[in-house]
Amino acid sequence: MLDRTAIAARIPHAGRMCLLDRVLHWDERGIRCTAVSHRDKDNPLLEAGRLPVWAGIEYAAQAAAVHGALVRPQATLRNGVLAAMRNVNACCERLDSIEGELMFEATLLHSDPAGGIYSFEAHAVDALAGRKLLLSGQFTLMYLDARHGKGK
Amino acid sequence: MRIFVETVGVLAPGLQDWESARAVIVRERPYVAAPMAAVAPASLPSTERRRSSPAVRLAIAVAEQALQRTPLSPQDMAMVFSSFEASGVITHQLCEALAGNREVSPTQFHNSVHNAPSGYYSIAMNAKLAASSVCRGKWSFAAGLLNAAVQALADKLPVLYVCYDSPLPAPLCDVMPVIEATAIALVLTPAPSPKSLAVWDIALNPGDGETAWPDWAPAAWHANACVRGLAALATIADPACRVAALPFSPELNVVVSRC
Repeated sequence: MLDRTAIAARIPHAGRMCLLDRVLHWDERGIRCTAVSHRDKDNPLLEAGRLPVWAGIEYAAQAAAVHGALVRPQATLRNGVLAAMRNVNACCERLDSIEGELMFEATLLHSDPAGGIYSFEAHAVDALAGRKLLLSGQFTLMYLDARHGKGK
Repeated sequence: MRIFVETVGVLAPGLQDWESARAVIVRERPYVAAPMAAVAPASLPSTERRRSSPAVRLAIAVAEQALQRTPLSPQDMAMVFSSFEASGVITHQLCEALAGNREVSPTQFHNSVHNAPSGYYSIAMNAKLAASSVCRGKWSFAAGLLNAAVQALADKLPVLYVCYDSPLPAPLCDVMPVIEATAIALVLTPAPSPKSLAVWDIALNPGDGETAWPDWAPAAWHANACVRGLAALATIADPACRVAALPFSPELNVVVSRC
């Protein structure tokens, strides 16, 4: 299990933009992480003091980026972008009102040297109420490669 | 990410199909401007053809070209359509109606939506898989291509990709100078087939949002999002051209490399 420091060492994000708290589980196929930063008053993704549910996409993308680093431990830290999204469904409006931990799962659908296509889900985890789906969808993470520059 | 190009369709003034586009790209013959013949997609029932906008007919006609060159069935393909401004003529007519008696025709309203071409196409072809409509301004070709490639790889399906630009009348063309109709269609597959024309590696690289236009491409086309895709087609047509950078944002290019 990886903690926040170990997560920060594996993605280019720094400081408060490093949103995840722990990696609970990972294997070749995917990763499961938790976050508590959705409650932070200085969360960099706050809009008018609230954390919109769409911010969960960034959380999930960071989970996927950690996954990319874990499955390729020898690779150097690479900058990536969220290049495409599909079928994003939100079941709530904001994340900061959720008291418990958030759980983000990213599952690899297609792996590629240029990046990866992941499906993702975000859940609220409550000891009594169990898991509640907040957000789901699919995105493509692509690593930037300066080799080609502007191309031909 | 690696994707296979199964087939290509091209429609533009002076370029009536992929063969004529290929010959111009590799300079076997010069580009000769010629008005585009009226576009009448065979697959669109005559009632739908009458009700549809020029943008819809353009998008379906270029898709038909691509489909003629593959044994793959349109019913087995997911679809991605992209355009800068889907139907400028309809937008113009809606604006006129709103500025006048404010009586918007229901047919025009239904033709005005960005996914009208994908709707008409799926009816015409009885194609029931997922259809996406992408708009990213002048970067629409690269954005749609990336979406189509991602979908082919994620869902392990062939994907029809159509990028089309339909002219805008005045005064809209002052702000978005799409003057001539142009369209490109591609069928992308996640695995090779006996018909594959090319193998592309698609990557995202830093860029400046600028397009290197082929010198033969008329300046009148420079506002057309789909014409930026010509650079990608050059990697299929021209053995000397292996890499094409397609602007995706002011900072990023989608780079297509023929393997």
